Amino acid sequence: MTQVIELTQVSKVYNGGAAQTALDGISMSVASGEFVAVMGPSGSGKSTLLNMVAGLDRPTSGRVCVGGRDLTGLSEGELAKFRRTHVGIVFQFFHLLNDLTVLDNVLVAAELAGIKRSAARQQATALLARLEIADKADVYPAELSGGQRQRVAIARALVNRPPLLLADEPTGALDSRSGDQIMELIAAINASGQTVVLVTHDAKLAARHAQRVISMSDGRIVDDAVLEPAAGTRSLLTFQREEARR
Amino acid sequence: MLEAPDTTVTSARPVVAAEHLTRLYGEGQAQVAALRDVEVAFQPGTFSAVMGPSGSGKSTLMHLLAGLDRPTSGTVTIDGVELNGLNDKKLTLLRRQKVGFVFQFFNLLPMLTAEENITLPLRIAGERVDEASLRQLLEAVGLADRKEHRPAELSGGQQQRVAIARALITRPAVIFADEPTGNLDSQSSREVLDMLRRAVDDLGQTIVMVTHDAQAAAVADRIVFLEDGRIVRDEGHLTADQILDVMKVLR
Amino acid sequence: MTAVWRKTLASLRRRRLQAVIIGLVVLLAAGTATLALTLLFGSTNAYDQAFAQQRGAHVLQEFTGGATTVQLAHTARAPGVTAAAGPWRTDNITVEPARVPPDERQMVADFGPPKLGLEVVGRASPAGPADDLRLVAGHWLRSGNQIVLTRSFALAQSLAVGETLNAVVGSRRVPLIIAGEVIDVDEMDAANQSPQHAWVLPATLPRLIGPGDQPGYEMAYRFRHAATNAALRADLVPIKALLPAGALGFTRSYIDVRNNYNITSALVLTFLLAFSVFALGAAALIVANIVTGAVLAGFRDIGIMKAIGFTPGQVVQMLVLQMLVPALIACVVGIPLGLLLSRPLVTQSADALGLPPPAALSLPAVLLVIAGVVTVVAVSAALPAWRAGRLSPVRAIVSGTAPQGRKAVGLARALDRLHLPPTVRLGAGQAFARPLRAGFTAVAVLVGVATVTFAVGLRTTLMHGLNDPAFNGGDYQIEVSRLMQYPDARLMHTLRAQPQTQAIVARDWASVQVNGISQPVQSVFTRGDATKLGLRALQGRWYAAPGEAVAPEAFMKEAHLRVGDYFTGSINGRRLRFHLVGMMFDTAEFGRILYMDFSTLHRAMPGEVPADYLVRLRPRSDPTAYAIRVNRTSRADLTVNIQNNTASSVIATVNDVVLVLALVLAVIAAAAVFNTVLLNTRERVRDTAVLKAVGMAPRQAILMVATSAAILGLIGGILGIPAGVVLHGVILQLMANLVGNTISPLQYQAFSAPLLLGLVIAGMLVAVLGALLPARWAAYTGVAEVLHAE
Repeated sequence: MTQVIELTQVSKVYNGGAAQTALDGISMSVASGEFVAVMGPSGSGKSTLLNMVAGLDRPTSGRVCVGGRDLTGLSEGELAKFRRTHVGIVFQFFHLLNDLTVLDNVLVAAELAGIKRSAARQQATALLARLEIADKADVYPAELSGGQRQRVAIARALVNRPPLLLADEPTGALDSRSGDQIMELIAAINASGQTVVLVTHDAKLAARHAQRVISMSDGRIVDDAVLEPAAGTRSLLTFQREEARR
Repeated sequence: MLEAPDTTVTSARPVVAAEHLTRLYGEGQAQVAALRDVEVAFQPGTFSAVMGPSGSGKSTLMHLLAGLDRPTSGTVTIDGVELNGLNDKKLTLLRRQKVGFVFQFFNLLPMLTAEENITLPLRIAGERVDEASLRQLLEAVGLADRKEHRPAELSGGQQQRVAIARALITRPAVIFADEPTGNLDSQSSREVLDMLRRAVDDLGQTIVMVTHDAQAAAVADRIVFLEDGRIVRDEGHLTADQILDVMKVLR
Repeated sequence: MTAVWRKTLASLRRRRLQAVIIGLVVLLAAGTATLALTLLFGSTNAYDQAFAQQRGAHVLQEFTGGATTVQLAHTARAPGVTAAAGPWRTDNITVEPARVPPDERQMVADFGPPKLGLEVVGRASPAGPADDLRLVAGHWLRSGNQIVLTRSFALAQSLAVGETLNAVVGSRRVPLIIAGEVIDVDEMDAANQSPQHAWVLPATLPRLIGPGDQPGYEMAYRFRHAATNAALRADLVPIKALLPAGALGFTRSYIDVRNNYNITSALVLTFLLAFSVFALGAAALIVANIVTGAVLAGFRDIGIMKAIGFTPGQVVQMLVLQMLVPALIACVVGIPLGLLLSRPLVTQSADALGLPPPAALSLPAVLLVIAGVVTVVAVSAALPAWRAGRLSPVRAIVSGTAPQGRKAVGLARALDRLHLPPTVRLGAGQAFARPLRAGFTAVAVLVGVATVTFAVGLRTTLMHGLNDPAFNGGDYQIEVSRLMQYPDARLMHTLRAQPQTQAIVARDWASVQVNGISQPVQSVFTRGDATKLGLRALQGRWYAAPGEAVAPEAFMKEAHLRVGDYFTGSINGRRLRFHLVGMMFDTAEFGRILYMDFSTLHRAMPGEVPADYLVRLRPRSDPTAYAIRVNRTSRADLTVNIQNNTASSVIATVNDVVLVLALVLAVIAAAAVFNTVLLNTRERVRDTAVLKAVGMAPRQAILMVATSAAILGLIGGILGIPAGVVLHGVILQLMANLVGNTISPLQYQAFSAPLLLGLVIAGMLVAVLGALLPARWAAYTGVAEVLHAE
């Protein structure tokens, strides 16, 4: 099985008034189809790790390989092109383009990935429908709730069918119910074969959905555990949720 | 020694109180109720934490209590003065005299030094800066040797300590802290929380801190839990583990 | 590419204010540039076109009676001559229109019929090897009792084809019917050249020669080398050699005629081109400013775009397109506007030459303007946009804005020294937080203030000029022209007898041959004290003795003379020595003229008597009553005119154009300030929120923003005003030079200290006014909205 992500001795040091080590010699890999949660308190470096994998930031040293592609030494333009086709990113604060409607936000990502216009429109509309937000296609993000915006963000992340879906605290800005819905969507997406790496500080969330949990602290990986899928736990939680809805 | 804060202390009058507080955002289909009919009061000389998951309305509650935002309905009273009847100017004056702030980010003005940031509230008000008090305050927050530095030259923890010093310099009736450790690593978080605790214990300040961090809330004397715009629990001091248990049930 | 367009169009839809500002500025700049270029390409072309079509004469040469027709015909073969027409017999005559328009009946009853001067030429055919006459009304001469006029003369005197003019020949009147009107490219318009030519059949001419007339000849020449007046002078040398001495009279060069046609356009063009450059420069600054601001405001968006896969190149494309789209739309409106505004000036030139108006669209001008706008906007946008493209997306999203430069911090430290209230200090700091942006804005304000200063000064100066006799030709209310037979002494007696007469200056013209200059110089000889009419020298002094002369700069330059120099020459063949005692201002003959006392003329022509009398009346006298009284003493032999000092249309045009341009640039400057303050305020929105949280009242917030604007306004004003004053001096000198004069010895106090102070304050006020809207916005936006995370 090919490794979708492969990090080798990756470090990141920020120079500011005070030098900060965000990542300290990280090595890890993720296989295709996995659902990995990266956990840790604020300042542990989990978001920085995600940025490395996404090609949004460069390591000070070490090597990052994603989808078989070595990101070392790529120019800004090449990284941008890499992001178009290899990763889909969902952020905590959604980061939609406020100037564009919901549909346009998704279409832009599709066009960047080189999908032809009619096909792009088709795929975008289909995705929005699957995420149950097709009726908001011509609405601007400012008029949507947090949960709705995050669904648009997920649609945008997936329209170009990337091998890897990255999510940085995707429920961090949402209320409990919306958060649950989003996590279910992501889980379903993973169930259909999508590799998912999710960063969170919420242990319960990690435990409920991920198969593998990487724990970080002060820039280092302190634990890397595979969780047994406990069928019992799953059904208990399902029952609890249904109770809450009534 | 810095004097006790400026509150007229009668035995049980709360420093900050809210009644039937409601805040709605947006219109029509997209309307969201950030707070629903909240009633709460904070006593002088206490350190309170307000907790809840994202979207629970804790930040909104803080903004309303601090007079930074106006409620859709209900009242807020600071040190006996009701905020509803005040216009922008009077509200500003009240905040100047009675309220101190520490935010999660963007606390400081980047072009001013640490010292200038600290004395800013006084200078805006046109008041004189007492050099002796300023020096004591700088030492209390451990930044005496960095007072000429600009925020870009300070670490996150140091910036927050400057913010705390700024909040303390006017000796307000209450200090509101919005996720003060949200952006900091564990070490800096501890320093900041220490400082806040000492402000209450040594200086008699009243602090209301909004946070989602259990470690931070464990420093407080009282924890108010919010969920979906309502207060669901109101406890005294809790340990971090106890807090996590409560949070688990909430979700 | 579609992704880029999608984002560009969406951004334009949302950021309308920014698009409007760019559109407005580019519209004004494009309009001004189109106007200037169309004028440049269109009007100066008209004359050359007509000249080529009509085989214009490079030189129209007059000859005295000394040469024979055979000799003159022979000059056609002189070396360098490519074509020649004539010789034609000529004579100066006086005519009276037979028809009296109803509204002039009273005047004619009081003063007698108007007496008009013409130089008639006996010519058989309008066409020929050179100097074709283009017929624009009626037909050419068919019989001996007909006359053909120039169109400008007919227009000026309200004469029509078919009317009769009575030629005054001695005591008889010879009627001539106006057969047609022509345009002669070798003739200036009637306002600038008097007498105008008129044509009769060769057989008619002898009948029009009166007693005392001095008929002569005229020939038209075309030369191989005719580019400059110097070349023309050289061309005339072999012709002169073929003729007896003294045969050559007045030479009219086509270059002078062409300059005359183009003078209005030339004057206006001077400003237009300069201002277009300023306007385009200011537009560039504003676009650069806006783009820098857009980049900063859109940092978050740019970060997101890069995160989802826009390359840096695509980011640049998007930002440039965001600016180009409103700019091009502005061109669509601005360019036709400029073309429209150019019509009056361009058709005026063509009209005067009887040419059809040129095409409404000057393609080279339009293309040049579009190319200029696109280049300016694209380059101004691309540079800051390129910087944006290279930033790390993470930083961009998190910080939401670019970090401050180190230099800004240093400036802030300097401000600390001054013990100003904190809001003022913060406002001042804001103004300089981004030095490049502050620089752009200050320069834009500088340009605006400079042009307004210049416009105000120009207006004042031109008004002074109109009212100052040293510049407007003298302060007199009555002009009397005397026919030869009416005695000078009697007229002087009549005039002196009037109680309202304050001063009388009689005037005559003669040609002076100056050593070292081949072309004779027209000169004015005054009898009586000309300074009583307000005429004066700008440098040196007015003449007081025979032989003394004053002249404008053009003559002095041509003769290589300075004030105080002596020079020699001759009048009517008599050699004389002259003393240049002063420099004056006179635009006649483009400054190629001499003023001397009548006693000087007497030395060469003892019997000469002036024919023109200028009278200055005492204050509060009625010119009309005076004119009637004088005219009654002899209706037939005197023409009495009341002087109307109306502003020349050239000055009016110049004034209007300059004012409009100054307003345009002032608007651009105000837009620059508004834009900068808006950007600063938007950028600082978090800082402002913190300040308000910490206790800054709304009024203090407004003061803070207003301070930052006032400072930029002050800097721009302080630098712009001296720039405007200098510009005023330079342009005035340029204008004066165009008409052969100089004004530098004369320091017109157009700028008084109170005026300058007023301009500085006005500049600051405009800046502050422009800042009020963003200031209110900053003061009253809720704190919570801002600090609420997304």
